[in-house]
Amino acid sequence: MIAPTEALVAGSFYTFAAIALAGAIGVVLARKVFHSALFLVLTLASLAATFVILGADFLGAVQIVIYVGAITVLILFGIMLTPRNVELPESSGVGRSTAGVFVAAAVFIVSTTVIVTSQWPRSMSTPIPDRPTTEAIGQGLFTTYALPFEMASILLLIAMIGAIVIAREEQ
Amino acid sequence: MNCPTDNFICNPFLYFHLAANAIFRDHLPEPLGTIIVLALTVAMVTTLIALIVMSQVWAERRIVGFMQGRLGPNRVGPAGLLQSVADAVKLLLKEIIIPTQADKIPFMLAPLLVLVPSLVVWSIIPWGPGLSVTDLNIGVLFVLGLGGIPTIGILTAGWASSNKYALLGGMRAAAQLIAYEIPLVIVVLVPVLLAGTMSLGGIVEAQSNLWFLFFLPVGPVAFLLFLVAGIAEVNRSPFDLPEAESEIVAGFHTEYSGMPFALFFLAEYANSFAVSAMTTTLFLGGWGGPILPPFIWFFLKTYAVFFVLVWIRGTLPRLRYDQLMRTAWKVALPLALVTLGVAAIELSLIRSLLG
Repeated sequence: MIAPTEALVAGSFYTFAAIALAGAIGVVLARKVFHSALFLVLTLASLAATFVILGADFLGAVQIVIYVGAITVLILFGIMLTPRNVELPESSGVGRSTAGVFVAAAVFIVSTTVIVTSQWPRSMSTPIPDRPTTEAIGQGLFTTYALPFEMASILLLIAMIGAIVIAREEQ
Repeated sequence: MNCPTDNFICNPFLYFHLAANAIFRDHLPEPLGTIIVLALTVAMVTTLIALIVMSQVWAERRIVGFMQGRLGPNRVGPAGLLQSVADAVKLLLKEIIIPTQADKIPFMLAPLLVLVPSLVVWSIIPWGPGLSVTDLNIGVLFVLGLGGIPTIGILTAGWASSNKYALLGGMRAAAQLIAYEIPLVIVVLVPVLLAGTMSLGGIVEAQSNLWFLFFLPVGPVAFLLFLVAGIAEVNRSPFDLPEAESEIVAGFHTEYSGMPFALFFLAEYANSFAVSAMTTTLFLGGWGGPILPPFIWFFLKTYAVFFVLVWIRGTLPRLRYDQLMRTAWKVALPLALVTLGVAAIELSLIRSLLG
């Protein structure tokens, strides 16, 4: 077992952060939907890596299982069912552009405010805990956050029933 | 056999480890030394996997040959042992043909997306006590996460080839992998529950008295479900619909030739071997066993499971698409849920009885 040095940790963090950003730019700029989806895989996987570097190993693995392994596969599956080689038009109309700019600006302002006003730990040298993070997450889900957890389950159940109802109506 | 990692019989990599540390870590500034040692370790594991794959290809062709009343490869080298080497050289020398209509970068990226996760899995599978590149405390989840990535590679291969059979193969692969991933994930929770940890090393140690296969009544059911879902995840016969040669030419790798095809081939066997190793680790007590050194036990069990995979391939016909989906959603998923429930109840009963 080789213990990671601080330089290695910082180096990998910046590498993965850069890859995640590059992937995100690729998602927006790619002309084919399929390429966008592949760039999305890159971004999500790099995010998982940054989670692991920050000591949230469980979150990182779950990110890979759910976002890379399931959600992007569903997106790709959906793309394969649509006509081939559909390239996005150069411009998508004034109305949609305005709405896009507005939403992007809103998201940017909210995230910037959160980033600026939050208290961040200043040091990179906080030791990564040896104890499994799963225990704390499990405790939290069944005690403090039991209600939101159950609410999320019910929300997913409603979505699933809705999907089945819509699928059956078309027959 | 009780085995410390600093024993040369127990740890076949001790020489390598000591030499690598002495040469690189003691003389080079950190983190350079660490990076070089890590890179060397990765290179060694990858080389070993390539060698194992060669042995498997040979074993599979010979065994299936005997099962079908023929000889199998027996011309190149003693008992045909060098046939895989000859095939590897042949594939390396062949021209790489990229269809003009193909989407070139994703086309070349797809084999890597399929192969790399199957090699990375080997960084956490314990070959003996303390004998893995690293032991994560979320090991099982890590393996499951890696298992989902090849799907993207197969879909990409199918889409980028601009070939309707490749596309059909990719679609079949996606539908099949999503369907079988769910029972697989649920059934993997049974050993996790019994061991009380997600670390693969911890799961093996928890089986030192009783293999989880023999933890009645849930053990055998979970084992069978894991094996079936595992075979489906790696697209092996009888779940090889994504590359069904009698229906859709060769499925997602129809357009691949030369080295990219060889990478798909390598990935398929590396994945089969990973499933065998995971079955060994989760249900058959991993490296545990009397007299012989742990890594020998690990490989004996893993090859035994691989033999069962070959046996199944040589025996069962391919499933039809609707049978495949029915098995996944109407049989495997409910059975996995019931198994997990029974395991949880049984475990809490045992705990309350024993105090």
